[in-house]
Amino acid sequence: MKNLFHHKQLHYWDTIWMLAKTDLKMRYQGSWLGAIWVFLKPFCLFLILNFVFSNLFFKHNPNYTIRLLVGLVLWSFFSEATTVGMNSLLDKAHILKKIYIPLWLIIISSTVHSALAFFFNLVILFIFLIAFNVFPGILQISVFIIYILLIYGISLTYSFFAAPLYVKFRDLNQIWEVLLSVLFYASPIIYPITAVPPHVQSILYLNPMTLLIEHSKVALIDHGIARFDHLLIFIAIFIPCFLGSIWFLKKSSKNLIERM
Amino acid sequence: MNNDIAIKVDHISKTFEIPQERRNSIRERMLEFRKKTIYEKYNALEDVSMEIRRGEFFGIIGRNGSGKSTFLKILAGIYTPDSGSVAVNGQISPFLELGVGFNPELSGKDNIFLNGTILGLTFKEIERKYHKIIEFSELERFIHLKVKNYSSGMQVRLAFSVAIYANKEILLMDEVLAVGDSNFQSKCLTEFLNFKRQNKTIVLVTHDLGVARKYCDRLMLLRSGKDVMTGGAREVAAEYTLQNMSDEERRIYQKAQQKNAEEVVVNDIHLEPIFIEKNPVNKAATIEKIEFLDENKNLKNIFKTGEDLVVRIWFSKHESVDKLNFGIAIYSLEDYYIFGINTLLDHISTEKYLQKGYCDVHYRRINLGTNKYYIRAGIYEDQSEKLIDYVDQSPEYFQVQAFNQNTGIIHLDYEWV
Repeated sequence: MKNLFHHKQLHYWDTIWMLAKTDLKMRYQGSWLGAIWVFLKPFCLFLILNFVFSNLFFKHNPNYTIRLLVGLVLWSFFSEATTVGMNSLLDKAHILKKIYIPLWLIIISSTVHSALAFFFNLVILFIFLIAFNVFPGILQISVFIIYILLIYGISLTYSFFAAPLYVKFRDLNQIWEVLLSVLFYASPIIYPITAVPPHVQSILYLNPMTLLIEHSKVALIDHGIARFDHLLIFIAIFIPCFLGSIWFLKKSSKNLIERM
Repeated sequence: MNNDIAIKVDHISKTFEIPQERRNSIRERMLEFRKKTIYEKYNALEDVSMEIRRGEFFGIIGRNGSGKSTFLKILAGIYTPDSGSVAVNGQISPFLELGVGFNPELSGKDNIFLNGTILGLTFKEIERKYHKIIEFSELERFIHLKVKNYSSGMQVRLAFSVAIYANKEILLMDEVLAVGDSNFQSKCLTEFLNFKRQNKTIVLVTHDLGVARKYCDRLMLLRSGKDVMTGGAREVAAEYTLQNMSDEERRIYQKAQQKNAEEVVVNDIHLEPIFIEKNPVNKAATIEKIEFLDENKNLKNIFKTGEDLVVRIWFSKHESVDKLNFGIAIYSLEDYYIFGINTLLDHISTEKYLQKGYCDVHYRRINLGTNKYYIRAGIYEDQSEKLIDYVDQSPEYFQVQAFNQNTGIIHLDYEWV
């Protein structure tokens, strides 16, 4: 079966940006503090966790506060992006039912907000890094950028799998909420990875966020480069998964819209 | 592909699987995993083929559920057909609804940009066309207002203005003309004709046979997902009306069958009576409903030119009045005044009507052309012009179908000599 279609007639970047801009406007319209919530929400969580854990459990850890902040900023990016990515197709059903737009475009545009929020949080994080006098060098920052891209990559991978599945199984958002809190505690955010025994550590590394958060902490705070071979293995696993998710999205897009 | 062809549809079929019980949650799936979900197959389209030429104004008509919208959605690339293929030659502007993605919380300006990009324009193009779009929509004063505060007519105007400036070679439209006032509708149609002059192709799904006949070069009539007839607009439109007529009469017949035979003879078939809503004001008389009957006093809504028509006005009187004056006028759906009569001017005694509770007018051999007509009725005090009750437009209309393809609102007795 052939379909000679107008796939090239949308101007992808304009469309992504326009949809994202609408999302942004809608999200903060009518709210007093508006976009300040982008900072306020993770920052409040940070203050609470910092208060509880730095005083109770990890009194003697040097730089606990800034380590916590690194972990939280990365984590909130991941959890936000996966959640909105998963919901994006159903959220935009009213458009998809009326006009042809590639599904990946909808999913990506929905994650723009998370990426922007992450970017602003990153600015704050760097201010903290300066304040704590642990500002990293160029090499560390460039490795950190790779980690960020990988976090975005796995968020997209998840969204490409989950968004079409969510159209068919409406339980997925509840399941993902639970899974996210499991993953949160299975990532070295509120505790250093060294706080758990080695055999548990290797289990924790099954969580993709564990490696990325841990390596980011090493780069930004300890100013080292964590084991490069681990990163390469990670990328070697990530790439087929990502390609698989693209294939899956394409395959499941066939009869998806009529189910919305 | 041949360059004269804009859209080529080759034997497409589309089936929807409608689960008899929807099982969307895992709990339901777990509990009933052994039971296989039973799907009811619904053939939305069956083996439809056609070609639309470049520069053609092509209409698709059919009743609700006949597959028109599914067909258009397949052309637009929203649905994938189960089998067959669609080839589109040129850029398509797929708006199956005006104002796709319109966000009521955004201003008119923001929505122009949002809607424009979704329709495939770049920012620069929209900026360039922005003033023209606003000018066409006549909404300069409201452009910074949120769209949720627009009237529905204003929303349509804005949406249509963006849509026509999206300026693609092929336009797909679904029932867009159903909304908007008649001024704007004619503006839209003028714009369609402009498109046609620019050799653009328009595919329009419509219920409005008037529009279909007037503007479309060719029509396709769908019935239960099958292409019943494709051809010149007039022939297909006539076929559609005739099909509808037989449907309507079948419906009446089935209703009559359900009632017992005596009732049918007593000409008392109440076919979904539409009562006229009124405030309960204490009037001397009130018009309750208006019915259309054939000469045997059976309910009927579709007539052929030259048949007899009986209009029955049901009324109730609240006081002991012994004389009333009835006036009945026939209007075409476009509000042309066709014919009016009045019991006072005709010197008719209305006492018998007061006893029966209704009054009948028998129009013999109605010489009306193919159109829809409604009734305006009034009850006046006898010997004076004082209005007691009045129905501006009967809730139901009746339809007349001429045998041949004559046009115009009346049918004159004629002969080519």
